[in-house]
Amino acid sequence: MIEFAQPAALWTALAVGLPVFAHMAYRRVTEKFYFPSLRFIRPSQIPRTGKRTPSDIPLLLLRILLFLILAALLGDPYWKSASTPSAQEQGIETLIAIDLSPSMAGWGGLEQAKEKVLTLLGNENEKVGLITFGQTVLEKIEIGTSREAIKKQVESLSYDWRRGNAQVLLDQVPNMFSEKANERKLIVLSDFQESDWQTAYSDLKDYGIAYELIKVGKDSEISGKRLNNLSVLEVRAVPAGPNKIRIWAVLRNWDDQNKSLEVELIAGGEVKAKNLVSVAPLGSAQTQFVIKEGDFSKATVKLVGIDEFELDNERSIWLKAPPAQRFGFWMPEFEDDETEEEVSFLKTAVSSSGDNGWNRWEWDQDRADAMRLGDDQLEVQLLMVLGVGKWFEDEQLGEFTNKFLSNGGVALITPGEPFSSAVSVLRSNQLLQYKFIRVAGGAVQTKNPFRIGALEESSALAEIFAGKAARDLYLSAIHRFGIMKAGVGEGNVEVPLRDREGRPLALVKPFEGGGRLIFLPFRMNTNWTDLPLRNSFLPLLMELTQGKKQDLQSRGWPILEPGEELLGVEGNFIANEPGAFRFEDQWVEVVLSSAESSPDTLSINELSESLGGQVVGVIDPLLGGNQSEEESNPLWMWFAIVATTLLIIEMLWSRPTQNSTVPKNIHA
Amino acid sequence: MVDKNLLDPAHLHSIEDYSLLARVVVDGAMPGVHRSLRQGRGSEFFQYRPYARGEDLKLIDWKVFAKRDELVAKTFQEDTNFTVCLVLDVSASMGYEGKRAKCSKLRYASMLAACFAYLANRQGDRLGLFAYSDEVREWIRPNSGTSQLNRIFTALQGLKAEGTNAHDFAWDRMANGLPGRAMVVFLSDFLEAEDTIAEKLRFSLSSRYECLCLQVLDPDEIDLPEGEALRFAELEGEREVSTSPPAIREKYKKDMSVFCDDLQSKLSSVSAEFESLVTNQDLGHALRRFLGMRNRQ
Repeated sequence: MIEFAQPAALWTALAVGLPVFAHMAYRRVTEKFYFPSLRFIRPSQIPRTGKRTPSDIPLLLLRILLFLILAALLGDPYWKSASTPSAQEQGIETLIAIDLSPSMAGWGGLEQAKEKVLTLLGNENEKVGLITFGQTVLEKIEIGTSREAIKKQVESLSYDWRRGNAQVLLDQVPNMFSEKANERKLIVLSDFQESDWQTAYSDLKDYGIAYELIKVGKDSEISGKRLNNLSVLEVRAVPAGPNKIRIWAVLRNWDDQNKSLEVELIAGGEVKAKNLVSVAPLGSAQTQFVIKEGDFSKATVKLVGIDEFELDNERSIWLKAPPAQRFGFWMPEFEDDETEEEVSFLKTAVSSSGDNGWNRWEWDQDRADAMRLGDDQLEVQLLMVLGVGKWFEDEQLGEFTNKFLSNGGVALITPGEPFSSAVSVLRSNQLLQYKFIRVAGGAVQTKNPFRIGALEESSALAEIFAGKAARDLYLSAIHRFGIMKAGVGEGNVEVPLRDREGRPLALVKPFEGGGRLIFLPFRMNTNWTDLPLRNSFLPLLMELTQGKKQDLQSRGWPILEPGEELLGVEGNFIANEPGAFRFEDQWVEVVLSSAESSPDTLSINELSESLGGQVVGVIDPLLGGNQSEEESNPLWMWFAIVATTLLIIEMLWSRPTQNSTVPKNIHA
Repeated sequence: MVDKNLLDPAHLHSIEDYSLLARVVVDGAMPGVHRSLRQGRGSEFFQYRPYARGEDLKLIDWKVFAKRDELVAKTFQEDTNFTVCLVLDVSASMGYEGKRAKCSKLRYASMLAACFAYLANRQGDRLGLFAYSDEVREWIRPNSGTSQLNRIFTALQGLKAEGTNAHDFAWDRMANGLPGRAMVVFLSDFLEAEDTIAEKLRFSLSSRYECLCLQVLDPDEIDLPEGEALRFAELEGEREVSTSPPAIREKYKKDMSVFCDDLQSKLSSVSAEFESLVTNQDLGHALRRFLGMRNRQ
């Protein structure tokens, strides 16, 4: 039976009206009439007689037939025929693959898939196997296993919490078929969610595998998207004044219609608060709850009501303060007054840089010392190396510092005495390839200090020190500083601060792992500068060390997706399903991947390109399961041949006739 | 009484041989309409007749007297010193033969030319034939006698309608070769010729020349062929026009009439005579017109 892959294209058959209209509206005089002279013959409108000449009707019919064939060709015709009944004897192997990613739990996808598989298993003629997959291959039942065992397994299937990855299926499929199979067929039942399938690729033809894609789950007939889903996208808890915690949640409406819904805050097994929220189509909305601190350690935000995908309707969160960020110092073993003063200034400044809430800095010299002794775990976020000099070289701290920076740490370095030694140490340890020229200024110049030059307009510092705030910074006095000159291979070093003559007053070198090295060519004490005494010191210091302010605000407990692992001291924490969990001294939140909430799915045609070409068979979920027993043979080639033949006949037929009225050569 | 059937081109068309055709027309259908042959001192033998006393003894055929003991006189066709030059247009447009026509324009013109030649020969005139289209197709210089007549018949037999007409070029060549006294008979459709014809035929103003211009047209050229719609293509060009003949017929007839009148007027201005003939018309009218002119000489 002829069927069409693109039945909508058959609407083009309406174009048969064109030749009919043309035959009605125009009359073409094709026969030439040779005449002695045309000097008195004027062109005129050729009237329709309303009467067909005998050659008109067959030509019209031919043209109509040509248009119909072309319309059918656009519809991508194929011949569907039932496969031979002795398929099992011929070694036909069928592998049924079921997607168990979380999105299959919504829109009735998994239930529909189960029904389909049970129908497919009704065909006794083929050897059948089963494979289920989510982020990994979940279950494999060898091809040839009894249908009863497969049915039982299918009935007990449940979705997996981990984000789906179709590539694992495509990688595994070729291994599931036996080498002696005459025909190999893969039937995939999935919602073909875009995030799971968009990067999947395998040329199944290379393995001799034919495939059929069965889309399950309810799609919008118009947009092809899945409708009616809302999700809790993010939940955060922050201090909200004395003894209070504010919990705010971001809700996402994936539907193309406005949605109003109730949001509950559940803590201690009870609903503590409810909010009514309206979310715009394909938009987001925020809602917040304020509860007393200390009563509960965790809470759950939950959407009330039924939508098509329930797994993303709630999210749990710890109400505990996240760990503070830590900082520490490395300095010469024998502290001098200058270093002591420097430590004092920096410690006070950094400690006060956080807010009163959960974003705070904590001085932890023990951890800094542990690192200095070779502990390779990142224990502090900010390491301040003061008075770098020979001691740094002696203790071989260069290697640790490099490792620390490569792991994402931030190091602030000030020079020791003599200045040239500090620069030399930094160069020899591959930390900073800058040359030292000389130390500018001295005690005699206290009355005529160096000043900070104008900040570059587009720099981050210029944004912070805008307007009046800049006055304090520009009034800062620097009595002494080392004049530095860039060496070879230091093109990526930023110079955010310069004196009025353009000489660097701060060098910032980014590292690949996200770390930053900040070198100040002067010490942070009053002998060198009055900067630590100024109001602008703290924002300048934090901008130089942190780079982006958002880093300070993003402090929180680890948030994992199902399937991810968290390294611990005695073992690893594996996130299995969403919720709030305790692991060693950490409070972990596991949340469903937001990609699974997305309503976007891929069409069968898009997928077929990733699977090695044309789809062998597409099964509409609304039809019965018998289609899997059928074979499809594309017919477009035959239609193209027929259309071409008809076109040639039409052209020959309608060309100007050769036997027009030509006078015979008269022999007088 | 003239047998009209013998002048009908439909009948004559079946006679391939122009010699026979001319005899059928002239001797069969129009007996006595032409002047009898002048007998006298010509170079061409005509017939024997009884010797009349007092006639020049040179006329007696002594060989016959020796055989039959009878005095007979030889008579010769008298040379008239008058030339009839037939100028025939054989361009492609002359090959046209419409459904209503008995024959093509060229065939009709050739039949007329054959008859004219026959008549002229009977009257002892010198004969010439000039056939042209875009080049000179046949140029038989004027001469008298039966052999000249046969040459002309043979030449007429071999003419084909082809090429475009180049009246100006052809008439100039022809005029340069005209003898002292002559009657020039033009047989053409004269299409596209009206602008220059008066200038080219100015020689007919001379008393030594007579010009008879016979325009040969197909009935279709008078009032267009039948048909609802036709794509006309030029026989002597590439131009094509799609039109509906009924829609333009009246205008066409008017234009054609103006064209013929204009042509006649211009020919009159140079003392040339003009007659428009249609190929389904019998030959008698043209022959009488020819003889009328010839006999005025």
